Amino acid sequence: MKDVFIVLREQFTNLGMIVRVSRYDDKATYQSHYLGLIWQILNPIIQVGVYYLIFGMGLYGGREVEGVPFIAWMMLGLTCWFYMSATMLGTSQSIYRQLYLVSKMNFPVSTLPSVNIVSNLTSFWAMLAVTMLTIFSLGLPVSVRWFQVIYFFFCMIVFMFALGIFSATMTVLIRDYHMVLQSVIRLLLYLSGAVWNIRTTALPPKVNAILQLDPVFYVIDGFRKSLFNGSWFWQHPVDMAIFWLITLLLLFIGCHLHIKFRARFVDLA
Amino acid sequence: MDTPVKVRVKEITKEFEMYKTRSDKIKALLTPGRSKVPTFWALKGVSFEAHAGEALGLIGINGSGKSTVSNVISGIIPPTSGELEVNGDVSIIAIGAGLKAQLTGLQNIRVKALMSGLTNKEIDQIIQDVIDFADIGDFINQPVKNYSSGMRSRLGFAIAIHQKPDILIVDEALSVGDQTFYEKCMEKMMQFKAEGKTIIFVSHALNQVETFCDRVVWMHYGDVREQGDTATVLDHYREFTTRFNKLSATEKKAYQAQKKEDQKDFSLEELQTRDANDVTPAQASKIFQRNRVGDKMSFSMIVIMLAMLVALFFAARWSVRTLDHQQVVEQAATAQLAATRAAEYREKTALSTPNGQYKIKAEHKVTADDTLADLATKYDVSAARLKAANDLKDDTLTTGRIIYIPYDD
Repeated sequence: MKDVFIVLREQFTNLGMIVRVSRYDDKATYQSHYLGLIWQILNPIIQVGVYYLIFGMGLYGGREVEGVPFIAWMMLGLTCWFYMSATMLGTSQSIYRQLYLVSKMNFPVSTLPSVNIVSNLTSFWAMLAVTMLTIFSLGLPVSVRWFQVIYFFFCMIVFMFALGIFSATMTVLIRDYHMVLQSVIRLLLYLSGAVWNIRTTALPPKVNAILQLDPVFYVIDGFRKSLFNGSWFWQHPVDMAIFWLITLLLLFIGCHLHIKFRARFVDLA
Repeated sequence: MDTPVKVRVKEITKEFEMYKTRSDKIKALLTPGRSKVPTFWALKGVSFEAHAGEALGLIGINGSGKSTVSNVISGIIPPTSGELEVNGDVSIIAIGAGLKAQLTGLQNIRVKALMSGLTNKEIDQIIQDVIDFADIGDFINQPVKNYSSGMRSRLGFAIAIHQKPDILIVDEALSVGDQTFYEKCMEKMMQFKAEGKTIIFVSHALNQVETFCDRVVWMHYGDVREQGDTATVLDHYREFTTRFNKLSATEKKAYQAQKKEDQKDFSLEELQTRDANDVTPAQASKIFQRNRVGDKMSFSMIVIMLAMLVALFFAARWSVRTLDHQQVVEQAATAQLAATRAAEYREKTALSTPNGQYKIKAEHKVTADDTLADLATKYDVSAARLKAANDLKDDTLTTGRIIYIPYDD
């Protein structure tokens, strides 16, 4: 338990530094590009276009999903998915990539995943803005349930951090971990229901039920529940319990491994 | 000495494991208990102190443990055993170290300052000073990978010194700079000293050590061979090097091999017998013990996590079962709905009978045994409706005739 508190305290005491470094990271990444930060929005839009062509027109033939126009339904899912996949990969490498730099200075290494989490938020907000515009332009109803986006956003950030601190530590210890993660993420695009509705009777019920245990699905589905007038999150206490149990277990194991091995990161560099 | 102690190194050891492959290293890291890998003691119980306003020189031949002890003090590597007390922020400068090769000099200044917790405003205030101090001209806007080793060292020094550390460790960083830069750094370090800060100066350049350091620690194959005021220690060190250089090549080799062998065979028990008198009995029980690398997971934590795992398992099982059940029901309903819709669709698009009054549900070719009543039961329509749909005048059916079966109303 002590490990978790140490790691979390480091995040909060260095919050200002985390935000400043991530903002600088963003600027530095796109500095050498002519279009600069526009790429953060252009890139996902292009992907949305392709997925709409394949899934929206091809698979769904322009039909609605759960009573919502497919384009809005998919864009919201992809907004979360792009953020989470980029962050899962980014946090996993965050410590390994900076090891040389931080090994020569006294630096709270546990904040590196957070820097990545905050830095990726820029494109998340941009993408969310585009999605909201789409939702408004389609004239979908506004409801008080939109407020539960705050809860699911919180879920997303906590889950990203729990997985991030675990992955970042694992990648330093075992390089293969990152490769495994990459493959899993490629699969998750389809398995977490970002581009097509996995809550379908086309799948065997058991498979479907198991897919719905996925925390990534919980977040994506949660955003959809919030904005498309679904149910309230407390109406599904078991799903909620499963999500938080997975997240907390990851956080405990991640923090423990991090504290245990971080003194030896330099030996491994 | 009356000035406060800034750094106290007491009986510090550092053991490196000499793995053959990387995977050995990771295996050893992940398996609990000690593995039987050959080890090497880079530090064999080193003790010294550095005070405020003092410049401490660290000298010794290559591989004597100077850099290792610097890294231990700056918190980069953990000591294997012993006690380390550091009062204040430490900044370490090694040659070209800690710079990101693909970023420009200016970006490096900003990133490192941001990472050490400065705000953008604070950085804006010092950045010109850093640039002026580094004095590398237009190269400040070039990626660091294009720098000469001298430029890297200048930039590294400029950044480190502007982070306002309490303790500055200079690990041979000045050896690649030219005379002008060296003098500039010396001036700055003198100023630091006057401000009551501590400088640990690692160098092979004995004349630099002589002019700058108040005290000197002579490291020799992981031990402190001698420490004291600069002149005495340097005299002895020079004596040693002259004597050593006079030896024949084989004698030199034998000497070095012997020393390296000692560093491999060293153990903490050996240190305890050697230095037991240097520490109080209370300290002795702890100071000669290995520092634990991270804490073991506490028992309560393991119990909590197991409980969570069990809870997760049952929640997941419950969820899968209910969903499974729900879905079977839903699936049946959907299948029903699909069937109804399909039927409706067929009716809507079905052809009409020749008289145009009824939609055709099916067609039937009459055989010799068929009667109108039979067909009516078979297709669940009234005989009257059948007659009307097919324009039949009576109940007789001609064999081979196609009878249209109409939909219900």
